[in-house]
Amino acid sequence: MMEPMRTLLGRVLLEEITPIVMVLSTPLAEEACEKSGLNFVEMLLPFSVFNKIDVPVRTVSDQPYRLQMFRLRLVYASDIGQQDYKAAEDHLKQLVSNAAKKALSDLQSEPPQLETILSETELNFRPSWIQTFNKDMRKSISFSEHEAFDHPVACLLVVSSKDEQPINRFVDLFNTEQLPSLLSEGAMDPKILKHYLLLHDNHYGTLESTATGILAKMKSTFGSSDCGLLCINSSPGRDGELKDNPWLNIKSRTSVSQEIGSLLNIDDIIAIKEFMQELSSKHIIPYMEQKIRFLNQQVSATRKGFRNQIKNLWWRKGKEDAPETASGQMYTFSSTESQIRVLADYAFILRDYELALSNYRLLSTDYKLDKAWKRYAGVQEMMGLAYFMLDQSRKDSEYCMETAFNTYLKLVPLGQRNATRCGLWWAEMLKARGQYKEAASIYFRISSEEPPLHAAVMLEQASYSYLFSSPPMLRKYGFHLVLAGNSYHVSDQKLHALRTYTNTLLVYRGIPWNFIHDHVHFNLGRWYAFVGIFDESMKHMLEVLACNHQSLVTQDLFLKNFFAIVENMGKIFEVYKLQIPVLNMSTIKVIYEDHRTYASSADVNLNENLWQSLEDEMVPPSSTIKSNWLHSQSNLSLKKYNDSHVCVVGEAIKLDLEFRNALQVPISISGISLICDLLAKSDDTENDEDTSILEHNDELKEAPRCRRRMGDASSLVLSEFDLVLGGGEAKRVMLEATPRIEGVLKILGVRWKLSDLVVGYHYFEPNTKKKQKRGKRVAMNSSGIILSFIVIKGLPKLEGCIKNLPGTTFTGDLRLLRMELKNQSKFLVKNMKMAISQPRFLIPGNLEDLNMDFPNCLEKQENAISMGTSANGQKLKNLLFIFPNDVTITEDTTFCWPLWFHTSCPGKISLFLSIYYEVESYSSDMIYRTLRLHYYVEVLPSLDVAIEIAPCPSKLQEFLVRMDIVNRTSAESFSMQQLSCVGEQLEISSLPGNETICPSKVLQAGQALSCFFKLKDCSRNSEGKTGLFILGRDVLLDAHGNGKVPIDVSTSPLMEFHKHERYHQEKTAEGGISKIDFILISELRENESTGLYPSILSYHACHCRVTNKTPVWWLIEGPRILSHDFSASFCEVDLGLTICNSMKAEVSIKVVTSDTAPESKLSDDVISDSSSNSQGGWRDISLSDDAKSTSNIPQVQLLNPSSSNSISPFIWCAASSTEVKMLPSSTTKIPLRICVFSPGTYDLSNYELRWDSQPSDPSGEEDTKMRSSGTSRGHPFYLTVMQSSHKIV
Amino acid sequence: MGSTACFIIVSRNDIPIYEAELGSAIKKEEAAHQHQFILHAALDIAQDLAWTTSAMFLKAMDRFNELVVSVYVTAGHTRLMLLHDSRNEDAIKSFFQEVHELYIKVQLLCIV
Repeated sequence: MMEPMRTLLGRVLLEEITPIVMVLSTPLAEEACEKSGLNFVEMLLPFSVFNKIDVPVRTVSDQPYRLQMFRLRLVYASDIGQQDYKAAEDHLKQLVSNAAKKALSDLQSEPPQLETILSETELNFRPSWIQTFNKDMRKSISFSEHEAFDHPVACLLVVSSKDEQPINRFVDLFNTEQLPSLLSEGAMDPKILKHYLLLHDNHYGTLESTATGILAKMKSTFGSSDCGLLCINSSPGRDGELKDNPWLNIKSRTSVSQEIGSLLNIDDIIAIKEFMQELSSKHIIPYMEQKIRFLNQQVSATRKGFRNQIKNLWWRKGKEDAPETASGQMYTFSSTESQIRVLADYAFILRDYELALSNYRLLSTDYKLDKAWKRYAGVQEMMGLAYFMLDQSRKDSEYCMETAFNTYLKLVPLGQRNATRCGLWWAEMLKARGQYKEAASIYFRISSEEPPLHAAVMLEQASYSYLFSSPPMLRKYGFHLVLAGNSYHVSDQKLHALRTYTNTLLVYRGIPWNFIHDHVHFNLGRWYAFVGIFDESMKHMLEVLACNHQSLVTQDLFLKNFFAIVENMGKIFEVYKLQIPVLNMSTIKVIYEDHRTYASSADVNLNENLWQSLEDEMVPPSSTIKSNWLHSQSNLSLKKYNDSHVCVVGEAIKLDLEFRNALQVPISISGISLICDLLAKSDDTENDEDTSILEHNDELKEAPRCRRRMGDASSLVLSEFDLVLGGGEAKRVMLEATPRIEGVLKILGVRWKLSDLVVGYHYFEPNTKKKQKRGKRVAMNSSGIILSFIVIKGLPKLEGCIKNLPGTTFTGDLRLLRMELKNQSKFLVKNMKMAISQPRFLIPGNLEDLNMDFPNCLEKQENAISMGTSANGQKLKNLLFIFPNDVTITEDTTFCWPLWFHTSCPGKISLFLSIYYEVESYSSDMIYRTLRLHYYVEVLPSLDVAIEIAPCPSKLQEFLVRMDIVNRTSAESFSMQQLSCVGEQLEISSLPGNETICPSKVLQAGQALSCFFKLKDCSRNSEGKTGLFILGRDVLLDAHGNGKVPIDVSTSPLMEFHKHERYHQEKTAEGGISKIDFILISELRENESTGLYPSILSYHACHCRVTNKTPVWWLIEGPRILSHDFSASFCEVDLGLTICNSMKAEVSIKVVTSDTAPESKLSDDVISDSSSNSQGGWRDISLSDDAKSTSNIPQVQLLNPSSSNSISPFIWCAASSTEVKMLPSSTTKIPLRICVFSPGTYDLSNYELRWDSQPSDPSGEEDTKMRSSGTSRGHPFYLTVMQSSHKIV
Repeated sequence: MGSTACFIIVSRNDIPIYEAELGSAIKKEEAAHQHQFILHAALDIAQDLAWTTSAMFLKAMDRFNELVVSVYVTAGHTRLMLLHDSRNEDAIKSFFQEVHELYIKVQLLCIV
């Protein structure tokens, strides 16, 4: 159980609800006191507090009790009365302003930790001046007429012994018109206890002479007990220094030099003490006791008891319609209500709270009935306090306080300050009981009724209440501090605003609630700048710079304030990790060149593995390289730099970084440059290095300004960039650092200047390591902090490019390109090699090609000799080309080399070229360098070519070729130039009737075309030859191309490309490798709308095969027309049957002849029939079918002699069945013979070919799929035999 | 006079993960930070209150002048907070429930 007296509220009540002693003094009496720098009241003040008065008190009960602590309030009569509102306001404002000075000094000190705060009590933590503020605030409404505890209990009249006619003075003093309004207007009884005091100044003679005489006179006039004599200023001079000067604390506001109480010696102090003790214990307390008893009697007589209560109620009811007067002027001191109030208040003062409470209760119903609200509220307030002091019912006390508070609030503005006082008490009461949260809400309620300054103090108290509630409500604490700070700011108390906001950092530092964060830091920044603490101000301003969630106006405001503060500081400010602009560290790219150089910086981002596999064969193995150039640098402690990269003196290291303006306000950035450290090779010693590496972590916190340790600016050249970023804009900047001397270069970070005012810098940190790996060339030291490079002396750089390489082209495009290499150094470049990633598309030419006129150089020369097979078996993936030994590049020249370019398939082609070179007579740490070139070419589809070859039904060595071409472009047209056949002694020629289909041979966009050609195999015995010979025969397709020389496909580059095509199409060819290839050459027609110029396109259709329906095909050879003299004998005809086995298996073939006529069904061929009927469309109807159907149908109708008569007019001679075994892909010839008995035309198709293939691999015998067999009927063969006429002749 | 409302989803570790200024009232410059302050402070009350009741919907559990804070505490202690000046409890409750449902769906999507 708490002890109410010991709580803060208890102590405050004991201090503030105490008897008032009204002091009336003459000017001379005051003058005597003034000698000691005090007035009379001040002189007595230290002695008006009695901590151990130990006086027995008896109020209404018979049992006396003892008062221990007691206190009197001495007030001049002129001060009794309500303070002027304005004056009170000014006083409070002054109080707050004075406290502000302390606030400023507090700002400099470190803010306390949360733990230390919470271990303290609220009273200690909150600034002490707040307590004073509360007190003075309550004081400003004291001496209200509706409360009796502020009414004077006694009157102390003081007259100096030097006054003339002192007795009269005493009378005059009380009778003047200056008495307080409380007395004069009848709010209180004017007949109060009076005490007469004669003040004697010892400087004006000793006591006996006059003072005693006057005292005797006084005693006779006013009564002996009520008079007293006090001697002061007993000290002879000002030298007497008092020990423990009791006035020091009281008058601290005036300067100490005035020597307060210097004329008062210890005797005086004892005298004053005794006087005060007597006054309180002998006069005031007894008087009050007496009054209580008297009043209690009276109240009991009139109000207590049933009869009185009825009467009271009856009487009050009659007054119901009386006008409501809030001021309650209707109660004079003599009214019963006032008397009860006096009784209750006196009882409260003398701590008889039970008595006080019962009377307050009595009174409250009366006032409520009378609707005297202010008095009602006042009584409720006192009830609440009485309940509290009795420590009885919490609920009741709170209820009373709430009623009082609310009632006062209804009386705004009259009761507003009273409400505040009530609220303060209420809050204290709650806090005393540990209900901090509730207390905070009371403070908050008060704050809403008060002017801003008071509200600020109240809100601050609310915040402390939240802080000390259990568990601590930190967020509420912060919020209320912010509210308080705002109110302070509004009422022009910047320092207090600053103090409260600084305290909120305990809660809001680093908070993810962005608007809160910005608000707090921005205001702190602003106000710190206002009080002139710029470095603190900067700290806070920097926090709010990345305010992209704010509106444009706010962003602008923040930035303007920030710049204003920076300008005020008057120096260039360097900020680590300045938040504007935002550096996108994930996009950082470092580009540097060691022995690998690049034609353009875009090539650097490509995968290093691709390059390495390309250069694999070209460059010497890397281990030897290292030993070659790094070992020579023995003075560099290389072990440390194992992970470092190598760059070359005089060549720039480029760092690509994105700067983004997250704000909507445009910002200007200037002087963006890298922060680098270059250690020259010469002054590089082991010790230096060790320490510098260790120091990195510390160094990185320094501003870059401090870091420029290499004095010689010429050794390192840094590029600088200026740029303006609009709202939300991002720009990439390529920063360069060019070392001019050998040594170790470290790229540490980047710096820039914002609006020419602030320097921001940023060090590259290890956590960006992971992201940096994305770009292959991005270097990251293993320590993860710094990009470090060993700067060595390198070879001069060769620059190069491929001229006239189109970005977009059509499939089949064939071009001659020029590669240009520029040597800008003074040295000779030699030993050049070149690696090309896709020789299918790009091959090096001969130097002579450069001088030739493309495309005429492709045309057939008279004395052209076909290329040998020299390039056969060449690795077809990467191409390594070694330039002839005599090829060098002399100083300052541009060297050209031709390249052939052919696009064979649509899509995006990525071409990698790497050129290796060495430099003659140049001392360097490198032995070679490579130049890497990379190009993308977009290839669009142009013509699709499909070739189908069918055997000619009549001749074994001839084939029908159908070429289907579709133009896949949307707008281009192509003219067909030439179709060449590449194969083993093949000859191609156009069919005579075919030229009329498309005379111009121009294929418009989207058009399709089929052409037929005849292919003839000229070599009968080509088996066993493996070499690829090109004995191309060409067909000129262009009907109008009079005099055009066909293009020679058997020479480079077409032949080269063709070989690659063969290699690539091998994988996709269905039937495996075959030796029949075609090359179609067309020309892109000039198109003015797209601006394309004519170009040669070549298409390569490789591995074409003869499409057969049956695996076995045959041909009967023999005479067609015969003359024979049948009169002599029958006619014997010899025929030859040539059978070809096109299967890959051995086959046994049985030829069965029959003398009966063939049946009406055409064929029971197992394989061929199934496909021909089911397929539709023009493309897939094969030539052989056409031939068969046209030849079969009329003949069956016309000439079918066997259908009418069953006896055949001819018979097969020799064996009726011949069986041969044939090897895979072989041809064999079987002789046949027939006998004809009469002239006529015969169809010799009545034979069958039965074939049965055996799998070549005996182990796969069980596999039925491998085994195939079938029967084919004979082809029609017409033989006409005529009667020989020579017999007639 | 339009209605003011501010909706914030606060994660378990007190980080605002979604913010929306709703309502028809004309936006004032200082409203944004004021709303955040009120809602942030209301977390203290919500923290106290959440353990005293089994209900997820804590209606009008804190107020600042005319603005009332309603909170919906999910099982994962994510708090859906609405600062409002109108008093339509049922609408607010169903709004919270709807948001909660969507929130769960989004979270599940993230897991998937």
